[in-house]
Order: sequence, then structure tokens, then C-alpha cells
Amino acid sequence: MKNRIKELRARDSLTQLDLAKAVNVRRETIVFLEKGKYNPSLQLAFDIAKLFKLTIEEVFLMED
Amino acid sequence: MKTKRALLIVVGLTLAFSAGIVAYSQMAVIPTKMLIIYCLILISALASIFIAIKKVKEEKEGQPLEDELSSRIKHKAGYLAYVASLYMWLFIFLFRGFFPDVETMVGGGVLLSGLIGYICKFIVKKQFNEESN
Repeated sequence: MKNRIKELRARDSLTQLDLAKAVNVRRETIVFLEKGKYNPSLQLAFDIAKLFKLTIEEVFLMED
Repeated sequence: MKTKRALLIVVGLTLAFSAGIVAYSQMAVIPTKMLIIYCLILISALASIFIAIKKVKEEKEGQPLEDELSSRIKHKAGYLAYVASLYMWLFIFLFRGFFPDVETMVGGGVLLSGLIGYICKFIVKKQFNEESN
């Protein structure tokens, strides 16, 4: 699963630490998410999408 | 605050332990087997200090000490460490002649279990990828 977290973070001028604090996870989790090495829980996906004022589908993209 | 206190305790214990070894070594020559066990204790203490310092730093930054990814890593590493420890105990009993007494054997086994735990956590963290989800 791909995601646009890095791009959206840059858009909103947020650091990995800022985003991690905002969604109450560790910075390491954001690093793994951005690298596509970790699929978040539904709750975390919702929180991230909500933070960027987007839907989950707009942040997380399912690969064929 | 809790982490800071834990850090101070670990640092204090390590220093006391190191001082004990130095004092003891002045009195008598430490057997190699005991030296290996002392080194294991020291490595475990140093690893604890390193982890505690990291946790204090992260706590100061306002990060949670545990989240969904870290607990997933912990569970996977815990399972691996458990299986590895079973084999370790088997080997310890096979080579029990290496240990001077039962207390040393059990103590060494407990220490090795701790080290296996750290190593497994490190490996799982490094290898965590899409397949492990």
C-alpha cells in the first residue's frame, strides 16, 4: 500500500515529529509509514487523514 | 520522572557493579567463566542504560513511549526470544559441565535470555517489512 504522507507533510510544513505528536504515535512509526514498510491500523489511518483534512482513500493508495 | 529515576538506579547499579569487579580483581584472579558472566551482566546493564537514555529523550520530545508499531515489534520479538531461549536452555543443560555450579548456570541462562530479547528486538526492528504485517 502506497501513501502520500511525505507529500502532505511537506505541503503543511510538518516535521515527522510534529505529525507523530499530532496523531499520538512515535516518530519511528511515521518513518516506517512513509517508507511503505508498515500498514497502519484503521484508527491511525483515520487520524492521519483527518489531520490533513482528506479521506483515507486520498492519503492511502491501494496498489494492484 | 519515573524513567529518570529508573535511569539513575541503573547507572548507580552499573557503577557499583564495575567498582565491585575492580575491587575483587585486586584481591584475586577472576576465573574466565566468571569473567564471561560479569561481562554479560555489564552488557545487559549498558543496554538498559542506552535504552533508558533514548526513552528519556523521546519522552522529553513529547512522543508516546509505546504505540501500535512498537507493541507489534515487541510481540513479534517476544515470540522469537521465547523460542530462541528454549533452545538456549537446551544447550545450557547439554553443556552444564562448563558452569562451576547450578546458581551460575541459572544466572547465566537468565542473563542470556535478556540478551536474546534485546537481539531479537533489534533484528525484528531491522527486518520489519510489508510481509511481517
